[in-house]
Amino acid sequence: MRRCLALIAVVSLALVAWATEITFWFSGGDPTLDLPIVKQQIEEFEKATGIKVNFVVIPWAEDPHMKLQVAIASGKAPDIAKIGSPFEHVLARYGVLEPLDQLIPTEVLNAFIPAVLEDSRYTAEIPADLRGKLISIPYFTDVRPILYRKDIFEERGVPAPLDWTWDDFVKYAQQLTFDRDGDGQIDVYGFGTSAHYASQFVIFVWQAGGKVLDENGYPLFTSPEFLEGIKFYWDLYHTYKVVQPGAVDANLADVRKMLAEGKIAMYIDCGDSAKVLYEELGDKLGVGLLPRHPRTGKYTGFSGADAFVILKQSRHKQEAAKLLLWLIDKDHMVEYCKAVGFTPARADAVADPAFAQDPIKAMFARQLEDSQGWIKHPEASFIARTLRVEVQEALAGNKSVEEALKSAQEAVVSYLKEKGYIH
Amino acid sequence: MRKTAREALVSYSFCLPAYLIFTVFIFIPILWSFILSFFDYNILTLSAPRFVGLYNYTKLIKDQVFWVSLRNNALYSIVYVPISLILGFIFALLLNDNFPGRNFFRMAIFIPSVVSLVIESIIWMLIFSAHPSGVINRFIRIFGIPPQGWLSDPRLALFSVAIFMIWRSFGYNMLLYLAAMQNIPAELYEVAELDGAKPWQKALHITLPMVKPTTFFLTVTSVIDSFQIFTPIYIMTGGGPGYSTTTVVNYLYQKGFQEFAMGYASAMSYILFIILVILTVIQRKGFRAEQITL
Repeated sequence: MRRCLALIAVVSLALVAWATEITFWFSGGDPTLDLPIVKQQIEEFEKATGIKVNFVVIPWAEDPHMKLQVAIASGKAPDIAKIGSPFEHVLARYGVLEPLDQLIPTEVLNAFIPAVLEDSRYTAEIPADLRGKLISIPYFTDVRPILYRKDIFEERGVPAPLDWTWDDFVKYAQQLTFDRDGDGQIDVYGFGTSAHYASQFVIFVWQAGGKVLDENGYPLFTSPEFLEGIKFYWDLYHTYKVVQPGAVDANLADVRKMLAEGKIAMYIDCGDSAKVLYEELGDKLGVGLLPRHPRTGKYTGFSGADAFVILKQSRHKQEAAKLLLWLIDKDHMVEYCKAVGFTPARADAVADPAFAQDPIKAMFARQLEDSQGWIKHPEASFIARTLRVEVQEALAGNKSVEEALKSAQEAVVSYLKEKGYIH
Repeated sequence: MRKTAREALVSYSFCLPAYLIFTVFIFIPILWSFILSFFDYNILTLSAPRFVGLYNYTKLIKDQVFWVSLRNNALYSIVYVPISLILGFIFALLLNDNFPGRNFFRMAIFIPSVVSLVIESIIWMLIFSAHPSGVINRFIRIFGIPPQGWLSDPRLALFSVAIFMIWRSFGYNMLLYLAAMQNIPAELYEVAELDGAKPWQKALHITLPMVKPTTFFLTVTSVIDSFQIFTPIYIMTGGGPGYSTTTVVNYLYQKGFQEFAMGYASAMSYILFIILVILTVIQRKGFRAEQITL
């Protein structure tokens, strides 16, 4: 009997030791907020499937995208990773991602918000075998509406920012820029922003009907619509003077802090910031929609996403896909997004009362109806940098808006030509 | 085995771990990056790097952003190196005297150079806040100066970073100067005092020449440090606004790890290396010439 028990114990231990282990890299995460939830979900997954998960968290401050590149280059890539979109398009350009079309059932894909899922399809020409394929699965979206101080809006007699135009936006931002204590210094600025982030100004281009690249990947920085959008952003700084000092190169976390301190009346940011601000401000925090362009009627917001990818180097793609499916299960996604404050990528998760009945989260869902992500181009990083630098040059008064956009156009055209993306 | 050979073997075996670490983690990567600088190599491309000869170098010479970064490095160096050295020397002079609380002041000035650079950068970002209620802006308001965009104005941003780095590093310079000053024979000062030398004359004609090896060491290391500045720029300004605070290492990082042009970034690092070697040789010659004149 003893021998039999010992044999069973040895066999069980061997089975545990031989159980498939997959490595999961998780970019970002907060140990006090979402990570306990993910860990719990992974433990449940391990119990349910017998697949062991080596869960590795890499905070954003440690540049997980760079670490992933190094891991890929050294042949030690994880099986599955959560990354910030559109980085998957860069990875796909170099053929290091596994297409997911065959690994994820159609009924699961149908549950996603179509526009959000569409951003996970590879559209570039190279490599040709990936074109049109699904290269990632979105986890959540982080659309950026207006976050504002209800108390300051009320103090200045400004209505909630819901259905408003660019003209209203300027009028109200001017009304919200004021000297409270009468010492001759502005105490509150109407609009907080930072030109350090392309997401803060490219929305005005989209609202004016402009695009960053055309269908053939050719930059459109000198188009009238693009110029109109950037000129409007420039006017907020220099003509209407409603923007806080230092906005040419501010850190967005500082802008958020300024809203909390009541030094600005509104700014544009995503769900996790709204969650943090709500904890600090309570009902003083409001979420509104971006202003509509008077001609196009668009109120387009910038949407980003975090997405899951399965690496080509993985030896356990099926097991990695099982974990992916586990994490994007509706209930798991709702549980995760409730904790972090982001909008889920699945339509059925957005319809959950936790989001549909929460006034703040519901407003994010409304902004998502007119939203757009940053370009899905392998050279997205260079394009964003060039554009950002030239817009900052214009805002700093070193160039006119026209000159800055012309410089950006020339630099990006020359670079993309050299890389063979355009001819 | 002869005794000397055995002793040599023992000595080498003691050195071996250090040599191995140096070879694996420093020498091979240095050599490898030199080889890479002649290739078009993307870290994500699993295929072999493509040989492009001197293309990365010729492209670099035409790259305006690279020249802007180099100019920023030079400007930063011109401000940072002399001021941090002069302040280090002055404070070492002041704190070399015996007075109550001397150790406290020494420690207070030295502490910034051992605290995390990341944390200090974040604190200084708050100090440099462009809002009228920012720490420095409140201070200058007393003198009727309007609020400034310390980190957001292209004309001020690089100098603001330099001010922060001077504050951080002059304590380290002070410490090395203090060590050097304590090795100066007291007789020299006694003789000077007998001749009626004033404190500033003693500092200029005795202390300064006697700490010259330290000055040389600090000048070389400060110039190298100033050309390798990365972290505070990365955290405080991200290289902006525009390219006004982009330095060579920041640009190199951007090219290598954000735009994946590893060969190009390697070429840039070698140009930087050559510049630093030239600057070090010039400094060395300058100091030697001065020694001969003395």
